[in-house]
Amino acid sequence: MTGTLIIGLSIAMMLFLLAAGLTIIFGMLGVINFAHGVLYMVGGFIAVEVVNQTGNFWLSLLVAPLAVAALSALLEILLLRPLYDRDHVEQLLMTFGIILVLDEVVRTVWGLGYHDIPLPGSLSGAIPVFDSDVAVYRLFLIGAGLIAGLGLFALIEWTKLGIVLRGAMTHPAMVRSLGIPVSTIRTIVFALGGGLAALAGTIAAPLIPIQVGMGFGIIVDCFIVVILGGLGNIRGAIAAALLLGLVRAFGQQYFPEWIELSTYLVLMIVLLWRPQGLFTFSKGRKA
Amino acid sequence: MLTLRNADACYGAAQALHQVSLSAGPGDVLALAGRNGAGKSTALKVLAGHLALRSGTLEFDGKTLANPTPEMMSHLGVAYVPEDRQVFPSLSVRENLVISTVAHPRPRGGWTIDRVFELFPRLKERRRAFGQELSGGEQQMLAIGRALLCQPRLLLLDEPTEGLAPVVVAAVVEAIREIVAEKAGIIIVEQNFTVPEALATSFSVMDTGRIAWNGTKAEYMENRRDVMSLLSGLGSDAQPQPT
Repeated sequence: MTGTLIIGLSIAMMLFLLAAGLTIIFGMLGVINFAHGVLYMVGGFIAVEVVNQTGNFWLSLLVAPLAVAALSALLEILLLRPLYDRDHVEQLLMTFGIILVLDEVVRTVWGLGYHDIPLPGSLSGAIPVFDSDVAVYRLFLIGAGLIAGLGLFALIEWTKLGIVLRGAMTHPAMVRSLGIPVSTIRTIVFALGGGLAALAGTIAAPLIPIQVGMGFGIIVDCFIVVILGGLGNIRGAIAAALLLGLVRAFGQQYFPEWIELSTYLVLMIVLLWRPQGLFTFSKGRKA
Repeated sequence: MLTLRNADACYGAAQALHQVSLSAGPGDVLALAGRNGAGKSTALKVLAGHLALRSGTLEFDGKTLANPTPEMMSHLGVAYVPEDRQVFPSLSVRENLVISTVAHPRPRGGWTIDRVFELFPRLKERRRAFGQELSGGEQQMLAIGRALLCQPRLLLLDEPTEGLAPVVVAAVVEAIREIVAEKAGIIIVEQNFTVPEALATSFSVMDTGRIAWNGTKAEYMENRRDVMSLLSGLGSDAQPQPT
């Protein structure tokens, strides 16, 4: 029971790290970034490379997010910035193009096989928590996700950058009239989202095989989280990630054959009945 | 300070401004009146850098601005209070003011958040409320306060008293007096000259995207009745819009 809960929470943290980036990118850029899963994958591959070269997992935790943040900034400036005034379909197509190109680049550099990295020594093993033995790495994953989530929350709620972000989500033209270059803010947001995705990819690397296409499965779950939470709503994304993570973990344990079907049924019902998301309230504020 | 010369501007294929010229210097209060759709708001959008000119020039301190953007106009000291106020709904009153200090960290013109709270005590009482919870009058005060924290040399006000209770109008007028005392220039757009009459140093009337009349305070006072009837009669003979 406790073990299942811990696994559910760790899935929720991964989903939150990815969905948070996806949802702030949508809120700020108006772009639904299908390439988000590819940035997660690239983060995983860079982590593998850093660990293979240096043997230092902690270094990869720093290098992969920063490298992917820089890559994301470049992608935004070169490929998305020229499209903001055009139809949403063209932006969608562009993010699809980014998936195809980055998948191909990764295949060329690292090949089609899968890669893995060992659990860092200090985080291997299991410790007893209540009635179960729980993998230490799962606890680390939850802790790292919590720290990143709280950091993101603090950034958005308590810094001037966060004030600008929240302002620009609803009235970008007015933010420009206050002397703040909104195009730079968009680049920062895209880089931040890409960095969070790469952080998720790095944290996942000791647990799952790192391979081309790994971003696809998880991105579908992330879109479910973003839709359940309400597009552009970070607090909603936290709640929806917890919900989906726990459903996945407990479903796997108790009714594995129903889990996919019921998830997508819930998604469809929410889209038809509450398209604004389960956790967006007309009077409530979006953060 | 800021001069618009022979400006033509369009929304898509529809021409909204025809050969419009306007100017305001330090301490000037230019009142710009006209009916709905006369082009007043469009002229302010051009001055705020939100709409590009098709022809004509925008000059600041004698220099022609090649490609004015809203960011550039803000850094030059032109602050904009749009007609729909554009208060940030998901920011608190205080955050709606703090956001102006991001690009304008130094109170070069002497405006601080505390001074804005002194000017509009109601905002201080409501400082924790979110933008979306404010009344129209509170939103207007907030939009003006936010513009003041950009330390303006020229303030663009688009219908600042529209739809406000008389007591709020009085507060806004008082604020404008204080801003003028700072030697900042103001361009104030209204449907008529009722509110700006006592404040303005020059007057312009717009109709169908053109300047229909303009004059100094003395010229306005001399021709007050004619200007009034011009304003009330405008558009009644339904001139066709040139394309």
